Amino acid sequence: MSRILRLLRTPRGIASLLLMLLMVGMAFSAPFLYPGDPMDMVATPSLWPGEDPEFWLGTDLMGRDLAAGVFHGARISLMVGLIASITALLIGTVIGSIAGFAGGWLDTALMRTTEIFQTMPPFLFAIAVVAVLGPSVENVVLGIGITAWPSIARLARTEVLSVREREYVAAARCAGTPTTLLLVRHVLPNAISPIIVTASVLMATAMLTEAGLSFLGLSDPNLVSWGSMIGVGREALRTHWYMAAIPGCALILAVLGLNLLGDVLDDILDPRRQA
Amino acid sequence: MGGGILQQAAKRLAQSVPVLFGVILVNFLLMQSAPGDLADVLAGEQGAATPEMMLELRARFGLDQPLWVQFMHYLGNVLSGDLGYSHRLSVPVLDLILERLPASLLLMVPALILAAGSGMLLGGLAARKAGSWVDGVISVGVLLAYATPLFWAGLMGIVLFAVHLQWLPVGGMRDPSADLSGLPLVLDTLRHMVLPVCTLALFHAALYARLMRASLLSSLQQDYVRTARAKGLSPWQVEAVHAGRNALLPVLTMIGLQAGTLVGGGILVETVFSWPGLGRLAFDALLRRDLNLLLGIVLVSSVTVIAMNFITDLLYGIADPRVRAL
Repeated sequence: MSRILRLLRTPRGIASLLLMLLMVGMAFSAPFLYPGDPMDMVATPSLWPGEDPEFWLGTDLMGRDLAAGVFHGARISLMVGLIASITALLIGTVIGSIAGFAGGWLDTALMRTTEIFQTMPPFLFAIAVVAVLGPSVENVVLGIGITAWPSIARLARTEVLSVREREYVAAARCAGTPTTLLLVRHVLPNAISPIIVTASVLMATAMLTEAGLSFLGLSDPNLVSWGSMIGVGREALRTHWYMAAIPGCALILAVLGLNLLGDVLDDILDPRRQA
Repeated sequence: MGGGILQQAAKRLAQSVPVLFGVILVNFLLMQSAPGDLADVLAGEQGAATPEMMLELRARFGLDQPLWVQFMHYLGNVLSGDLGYSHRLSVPVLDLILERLPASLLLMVPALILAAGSGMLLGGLAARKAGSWVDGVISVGVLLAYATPLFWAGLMGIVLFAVHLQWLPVGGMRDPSADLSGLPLVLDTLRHMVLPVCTLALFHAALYARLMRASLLSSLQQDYVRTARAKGLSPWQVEAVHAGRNALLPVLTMIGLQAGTLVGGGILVETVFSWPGLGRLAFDALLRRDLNLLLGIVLVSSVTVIAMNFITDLLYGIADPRVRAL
């Protein structure tokens, strides 16, 4: 326990916690700090940041408050990132652990399937899924989730492979534990922690993918997300570059926080590493 | 020895056949899950159609056949190089793709070389000076590059280098106002390449730097490195030749694994810089809802990834004699 605290008190640990706190705080405070629709025109268009204290981050081409957009955008970006990475985590863990645990032809078949999904360029595949099914939040989540799972499946398979021959698993098998129970009760809990650690990095990637999709216009047109704000800001890039720069900075901070958190979790999990 | 590599290559090639089949199947299923079929599209373009006409259209395109018959038909088409027809542009999909592929490769290949080169150099430097301020600066840079969305980095590059400093062009592949040929044309294209190539390389350079640092750190602790040092080899020979060559292997694996990400990143970068490549074509297909074209691009990109994996596998065999023996 004290080791975990020590690792969290490193500069990396503190930075990751602060960044995560900031992002979650923005997401939760958005409806109170900026009530009303962030897509509404509220002020003179193209105000620079600091020009009007009431709109401290300025306004975009259509007079929408950038600060309101950034705060409300945190909700969409974090939510899509979270649900998409949980989806990928579920698909990947189920496929990977079954492949590793069953072995034989099932392993070969599942891993070949994984290879197929790993071969299709993930971002392009996600674009195709959203383009075919239509731009909505659900389809964006599905598109990201369906393309992000192969790395998790490989990881889960490796972990399960290393656990499945342990003595306590053999003991449980001898005691007559049914196969499904053996996997869910004895193998998975001991193989899951490296998978959980990658979840934060997976969420970071999912948020970047979501931003890329909504930058291309593949998101719910009625919801504001950081990617779509960058897309709107791009139209005034020559004269008002801050419109694209500000939501991008928010995205970088969020992704940075998640990546750092992944590093710290990795250190906590690996007992050989010192604080 | 050469026979070993060829055998290895043939084996890998055989292994990629089922993957290719799977990619085609997934592509087919995606196309099937789109609302409306080809007959609906054609009827929509004509304004109206009677139910009899729709039936006739479906019969003509084989859309009334069972799903597996349609798939076999699609598979046969794809394998004979027919990726379908772009009904929006009235051109075969493969023609459109082949026309744009060179421009995309002109971005991807230099970006990959730049990313691998600078990443391994920076990662190697960070590992040699582990714990020093150089290592710290490189690590922070890697973290930032890791977290920056490519398209945003591209936009900011345009603001800084094209709009404010006016050193480089905003986008496109060549200057449309000047009629250039020969060396001036090459130089002009190179000038247009700088920003998109650097943008595309940014994330991957960070990835390889991080990997190279970890991998070189661990191989510097190996016994053979101590032996090499003990027999009095120069630090350069020890670090670059003995440890470096072994540290290279995980980086090579990663280059193969990340080929798909590079292709995907290309779409955003090409869109940002109006680069007339496959990514830009995919974006236009998206805007026009030209699914045949979009899925054709997915297919061709997947084949590109398979090819890149194949090449890295071969390089792997050359870099590591132990792999060859298997």
